[in-house]
Amino acid sequence: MGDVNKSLKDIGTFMKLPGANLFITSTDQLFNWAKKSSLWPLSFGLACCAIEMMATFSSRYDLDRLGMITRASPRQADLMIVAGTVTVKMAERIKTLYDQMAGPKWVIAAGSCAISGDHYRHIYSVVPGVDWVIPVDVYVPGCPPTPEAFIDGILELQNIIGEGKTSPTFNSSPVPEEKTLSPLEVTKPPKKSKNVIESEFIDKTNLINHSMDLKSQGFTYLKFITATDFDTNIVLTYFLGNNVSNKEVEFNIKLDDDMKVSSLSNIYSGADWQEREIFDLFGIIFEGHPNLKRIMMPDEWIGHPLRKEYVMDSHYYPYRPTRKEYEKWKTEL
Amino acid sequence: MFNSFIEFALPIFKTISILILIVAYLVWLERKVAAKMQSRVGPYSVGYPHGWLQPLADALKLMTKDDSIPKNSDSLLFNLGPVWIMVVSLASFALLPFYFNNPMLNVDLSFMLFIAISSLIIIGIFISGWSSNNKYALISVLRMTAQIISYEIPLVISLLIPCILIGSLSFGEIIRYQEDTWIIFYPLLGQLSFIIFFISALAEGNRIPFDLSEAESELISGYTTEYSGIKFALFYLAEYVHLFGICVLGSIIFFGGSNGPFFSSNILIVIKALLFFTLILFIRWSFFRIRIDQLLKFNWVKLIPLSFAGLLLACLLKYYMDFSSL
Ligand code: SF4
Repeated sequence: MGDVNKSLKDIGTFMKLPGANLFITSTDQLFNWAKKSSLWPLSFGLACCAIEMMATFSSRYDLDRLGMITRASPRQADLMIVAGTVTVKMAERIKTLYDQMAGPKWVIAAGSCAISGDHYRHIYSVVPGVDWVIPVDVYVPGCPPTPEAFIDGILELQNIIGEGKTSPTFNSSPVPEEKTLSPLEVTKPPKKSKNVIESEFIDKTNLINHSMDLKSQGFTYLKFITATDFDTNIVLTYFLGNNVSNKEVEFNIKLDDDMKVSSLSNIYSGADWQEREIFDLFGIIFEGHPNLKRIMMPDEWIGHPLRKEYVMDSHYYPYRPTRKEYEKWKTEL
Repeated sequence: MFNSFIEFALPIFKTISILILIVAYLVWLERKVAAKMQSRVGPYSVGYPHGWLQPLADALKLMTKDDSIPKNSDSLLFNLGPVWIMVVSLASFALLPFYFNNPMLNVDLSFMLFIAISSLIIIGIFISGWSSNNKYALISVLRMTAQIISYEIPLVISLLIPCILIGSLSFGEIIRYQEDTWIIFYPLLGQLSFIIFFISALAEGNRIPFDLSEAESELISGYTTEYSGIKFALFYLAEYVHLFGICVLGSIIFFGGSNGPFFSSNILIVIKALLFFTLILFIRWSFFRIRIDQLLKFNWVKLIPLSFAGLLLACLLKYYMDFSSL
């Protein structure tokens, strides 16, 4: 402690010298100038806005004019341009990348999605604005923002840095009430659907044999598997293609309440990821699948969001982390 | 005593400051050339004509950045790496007759010594990648070591061909020999060894057809991934100093060094090296990156046999020429 006091005293005596103030202010200005003239952004993009950001970097708009070159390593980057929709799964990664950046660092939130979640803000998997996760210096509106808007945002940031605001602070706006953040309320139960697919249905015990038959007939390409929730039951649809005769076949399976069906991944290895996706979003269990884990939602997610009975304020909570949890991330992660 | 210290330190200071200035503007030149080739403008708004203050701004900014050392890394080696690379690449310039007077160290085997010193760079690269405790840095360093060690062979052999023809390993001799004709105009052998030298110089300087250790789409930014601030700046500068050293070497051995068509001066070495550097830039911004196995195969199957054939030819030629002149 004594050392600190002594050096503070030394600084004090230094500041009494004539011209010391001037010296310190002008070095400050010099370094601020350097910081704002060589902002290196992290090469990193999330959704459709990222395309527009890339256009801003390339020939016609050319951010290299302002001294900006992208760095792939967060240790060497000064600026993070969050361009695109921030999903719950991505939010953790954004936070990690932000923490890995060496300071001083700045953040631009570009596009309505990064600012507020835009039209996706009530979807189960979207964070309503990146400032829930990391502090933001400049907001660039637009869907997507034009390159001119991007450049305007960057010039604005340069002004902020030039004024000497070196370390961004967390967005200190009061935490909104839980109620305003709760998802759209579902008042009526969803209507019963009468829509039934008329094409070929097979029995689910027959699935393996049927597809083996088709494969031996030359249908070697699994185009896709998809599932539909008809409220009364769930229907799985398979599309197979024949690359020689250029034909395709479709067949369906009606599932019972136990939601179990045997996996096709031993016959068509392309089925692996698609079955994981269907398991993730519909909760259908594929028996014999080598690695049946969630693929899109975070591992600790509760419920299967594309099922009809999945309502956002149901007991399948958490549909997404609350503001409080994000605040906890800020301090803990 | 003080005077002798000044005498000792002044040429070092002069060379290093001129070198750092040149290298800082090489970075600017590279950004400008790249921009021209992609029909952009390049650095423009930092400093009035054409962003000429850009290197200064970059350097100052890197100085003010946080210095991050990854957890569980070997911090001694981690800090030694950039310093080692910078010192080695600057030290090799002591042997080059590059500044306006003679080289600082005048020895008979200056060419060999230059090669020996500059090949120590790989040690610095290896320890910095190894000590980063980062898988991308490690992969990059393994690739880089394989690449540099294998490309050093054709590089040295292709440079030995002119040395054998001239019959000396000292830069002074080599330059004096080329007063009438440059080595590049020597029939067949001159061009052959230049092409081999050029390809392996690209690989040595880690430039684009061979920039596997920095492949951004695969390895973030290679062995510099964990470095921030001023340490990263040291890497950045050292890379260009090394590359510029190779350019100077090429301009001395193949393009006659200080001998010019109209006048002779050591400034010509720098000008030729800059032209050579621009040629490397054109290649860098118009080519793609090749795979690691293609890279090694190309070296061991094509370049090395070719360079040995050239070496043999040069020896035979020298032998019979000496024999007939007896
Ligand atoms: S703001 Fe618009 S353009 Fe940008 S990510 Fe969202 S939807 Fe896409």
